[in-house]
Amino acid sequence: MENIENLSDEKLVELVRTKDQELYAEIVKRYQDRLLRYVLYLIKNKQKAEDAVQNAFIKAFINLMGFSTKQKFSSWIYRIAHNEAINIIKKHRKEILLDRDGWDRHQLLEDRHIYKQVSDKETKEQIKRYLSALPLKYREPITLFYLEEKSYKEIGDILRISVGGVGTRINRAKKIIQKKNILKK
Amino acid sequence: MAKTKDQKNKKIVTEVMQEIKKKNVKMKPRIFFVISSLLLSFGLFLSIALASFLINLISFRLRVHAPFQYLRFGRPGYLPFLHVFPWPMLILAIASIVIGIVIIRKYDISYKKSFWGIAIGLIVFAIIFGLIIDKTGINERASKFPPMREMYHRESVGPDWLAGKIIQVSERQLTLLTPFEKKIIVRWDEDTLFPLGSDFIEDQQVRIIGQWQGEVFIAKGIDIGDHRLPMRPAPFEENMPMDFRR
Repeated sequence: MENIENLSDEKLVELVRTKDQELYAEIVKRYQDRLLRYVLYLIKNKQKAEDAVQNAFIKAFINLMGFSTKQKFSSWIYRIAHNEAINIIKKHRKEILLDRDGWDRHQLLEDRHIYKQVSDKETKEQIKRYLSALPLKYREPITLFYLEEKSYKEIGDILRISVGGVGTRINRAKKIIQKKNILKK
Repeated sequence: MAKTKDQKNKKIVTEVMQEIKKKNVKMKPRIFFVISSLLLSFGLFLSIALASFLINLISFRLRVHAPFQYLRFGRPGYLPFLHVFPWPMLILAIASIVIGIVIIRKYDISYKKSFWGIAIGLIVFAIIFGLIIDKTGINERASKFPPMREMYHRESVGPDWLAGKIIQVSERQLTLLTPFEKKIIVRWDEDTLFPLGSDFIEDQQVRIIGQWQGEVFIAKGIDIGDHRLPMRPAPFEENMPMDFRR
């Protein structure tokens, strides 16, 4: 058998579905950091973010037969994690708002793995600095675009909005950030 | 830090895989998703078909019962208008369209299209398809069958109004047949309002406001079919009760 580490996500999913469910561990390993980072940007509470990601993996496993390999697995799993995060935000809205500045985002932001993929460092820095000031509606696409480096199409698939809608939200988020940056200066 | 991260990562993998190994979580079978998808498609088809059928019925009822014509009587026509207008069908058609839109939103591809585009498209499709069904004349045939009549017609006899088909014309008197085949004698007097420029003939549909005197209905105003001319008081020249042309 081909080395599982070299398999595409979609092929790996097919193997999990048809041959060996334990291979699902490889999928979890591939995505847990990325999902945790993304969910943490949204809900800003480490424990809740971990719970959300864990639930997302479990839900993804339960519904794995419903995943079409014509889709991109990455968008599919992000979508599930996104929904979990939104459910947690709705459930613990008050708590999460209070926790706004207390979350340990720097632990993840300092991860060199992210930094080396940064093409526009200054923009990213600005975004990170003002991310928590953005409404959730704008925080989602801008996190996915600048920090998770997803394409507009992938973001559309994750957030279930049109590509045009993604562009609009990202532009608005950038404007808010620029405004806040100018005000600070 | 690296250690912490590894431990954290290990925790998620371990916990997820433990749940899977213990069979606490199981994959839903493929058939579940196939059936869900089929049900979704069937639901969408059903909601669009129902909306189109209801719009077809509304079109039929507006055409045959012409509720808006009652408004020509002024205030006395409001109640019969409210009674005859196909409100339940309208509400059900709107509900079907809303259900159709909700179902479309559940499809994976729907978010790539504009919501208003989908909603307007569905409404326009249901209206056009409904009107086409009505044009085929199927309603006229179906409405003659007793089990279907209830759906197509509503008994149009109220405390101060009625509607039906003229089956007999005599001096100052009409015999009407209601949609549910009730025969009613209608009489008029010098104060009755009539449509300008026409006579009564058999098989004509009329809408009448007035009041009951026992079994007989005394008309205050009579409107014919889809007559759109203004109304005027009844002519009462001798020997020409049916000629309103003065």
